[in-house]
Amino acid sequence: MESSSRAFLSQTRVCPREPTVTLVEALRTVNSRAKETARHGFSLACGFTPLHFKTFFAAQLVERTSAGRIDVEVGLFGDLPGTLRRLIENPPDGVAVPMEWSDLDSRLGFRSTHGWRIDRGADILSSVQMRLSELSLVLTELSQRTTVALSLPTLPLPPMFKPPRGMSDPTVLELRRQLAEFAAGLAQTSQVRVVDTQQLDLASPISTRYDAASDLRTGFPYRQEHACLLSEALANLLRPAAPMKGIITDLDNTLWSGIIGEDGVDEISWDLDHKTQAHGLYQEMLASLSELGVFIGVASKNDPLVAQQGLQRTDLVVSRDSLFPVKANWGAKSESVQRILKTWNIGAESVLFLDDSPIELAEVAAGVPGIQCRQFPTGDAEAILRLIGEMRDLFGKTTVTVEDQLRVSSLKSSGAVATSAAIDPEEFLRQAEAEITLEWNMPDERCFELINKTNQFNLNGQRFDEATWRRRLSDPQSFLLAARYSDKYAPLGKVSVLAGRWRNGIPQIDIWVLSCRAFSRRIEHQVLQSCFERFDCEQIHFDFLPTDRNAPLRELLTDLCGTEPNGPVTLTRSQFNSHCPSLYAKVLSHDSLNRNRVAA
Amino acid sequence: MTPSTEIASQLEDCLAVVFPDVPRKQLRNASVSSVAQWDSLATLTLVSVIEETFQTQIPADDLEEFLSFELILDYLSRPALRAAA
Repeated sequence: MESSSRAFLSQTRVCPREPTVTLVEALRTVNSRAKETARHGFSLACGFTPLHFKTFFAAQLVERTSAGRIDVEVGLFGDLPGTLRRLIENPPDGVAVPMEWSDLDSRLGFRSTHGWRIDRGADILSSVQMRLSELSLVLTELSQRTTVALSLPTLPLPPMFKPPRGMSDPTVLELRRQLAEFAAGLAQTSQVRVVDTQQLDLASPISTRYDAASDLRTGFPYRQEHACLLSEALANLLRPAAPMKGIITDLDNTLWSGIIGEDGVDEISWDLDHKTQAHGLYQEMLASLSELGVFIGVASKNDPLVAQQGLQRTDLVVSRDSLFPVKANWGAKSESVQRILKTWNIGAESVLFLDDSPIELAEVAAGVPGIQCRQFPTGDAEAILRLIGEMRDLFGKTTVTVEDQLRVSSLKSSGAVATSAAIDPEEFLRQAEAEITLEWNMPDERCFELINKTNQFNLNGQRFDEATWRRRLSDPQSFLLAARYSDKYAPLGKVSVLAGRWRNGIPQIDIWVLSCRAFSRRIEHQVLQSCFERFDCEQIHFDFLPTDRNAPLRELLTDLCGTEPNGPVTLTRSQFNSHCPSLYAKVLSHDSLNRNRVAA
Repeated sequence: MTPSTEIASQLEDCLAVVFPDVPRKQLRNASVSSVAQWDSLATLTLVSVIEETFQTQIPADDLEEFLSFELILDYLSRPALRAAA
């Protein structure tokens, strides 16, 4: 699987039946990590013989982890509930559950007989209902302890019911209803992640999944290609790729159909009447992603006034306020893109640039290293819909935080902050009416997200998978501090996370991040001051490690300690007090044990 | 390389990927009795790898011959199989 596998993996989402990863490639991928001492333990909970599925699954996980051996344990044949129950006691880093019909009732598989009598329907429905209830309970409990990915039955049911194939039997319809209710219940009330059946159907047609010879001979029911695609789907849920952060879109023949400078503002379109609905759907996707906190910027070669006319049309599907910043000019697009990245203060590798012109794409790719460029396939509705689907894959999120919804407005407010601060930074901070809310030991999704996406103000660049994060939070010696910020300009939400452990009576900080949107507010100083007060200690140790991008944190430690650190560093209370600038924010402190305690 | 030498070399690659812990120089002497990991599931994996590498289908009934490098090499070298591949 090696270097080209990622490209393949993305292709399979839209192009079913492309050549798959071979078993030899998967084995080589797994073997490449076999000698490493660090390990990630996963479980494959299934009622069939996993055989090659285990290899493909392990290979997919290798692709999604930067280092360490992948160990995949399997359960007992035919005992899915028992396997899951045993995992609750000793949960691994993640559990994949490729459930099949035979796990719900063995009569629904091909390896059992005497189940196809007409009078068995009610009994099967009853036993499936009981099994689903049992699985729902055990999966819910397991998902509280580790990450769980579940796929619903992917193989065809045997031709065991009364009507000729092609006519739905009421029993089958009822089975599917029970299954849908089970899956919806899990997805809504537990942390179980359920594979999207529709996406799997597109990638792996149902008629090509079942390997009868293998199932009847060995108990392994999948053809190799289906095993590869299903294992990919489950691994994607256990180790999802970090979502990208921003989209920069062209206007003419991309955001809308037509060239506004030539056709006029009334002639550009994105609707059914003009046969340009695909552009409207593209705008719909941009609007949807904007709600998830994705930055949407515009880079267009246009007269800025003319471009504004188009963006002021009231029938735009995407809100004009969602598009920020808009760079319309006649200069090189790569320069516009660079300016947008500077405004957003994020790296090019997190950004997708969309344009209908291959020349512009090439110019931006050359001028902005790391940015992902895609051609907008104007005039090809099917290709546009595929692109829209791919955008959901690149930017989709499982949860949406308050901070996601504040992101664009707080970015715009940063412009006001910068302008005010340029006049008199000290006066700006004094009159900003800032309020910092400190949350002690109150972990949430946002803390995990912030740690894993922040590059600049980051103590050491350390990233966490969910299993490691869960283990860390359960350590009684550990502590966690998150900080929310707001001022009279805008609320920024939760912007800083600091975490560590007590060792030899000294707090050892090994995680500290601060969102780049919150720079220049002295939030970092306020956090440190609160740490000294809360810990009532004379020194704090920082597991600092220089990275290519964490200069802001290095500069802070240099200012406070007096020398530039090249590795772990200890800050004393007297050093901090000597170098800490004036702090103006009102600070409120909450913690998981003692809520609403005002600290300062 | 003669056809038989090439088959042996490819077969060695197959065993190497299925039994990564076995030193390369010992693979040509590998058998069910000398390699602890060579169980029935490993045989199925090995057969799939061989099918993939040699672009052939091996009937289930023939699996009982897959007990050692030497026996598999003999199996793969049979003219009928080579013609089918």
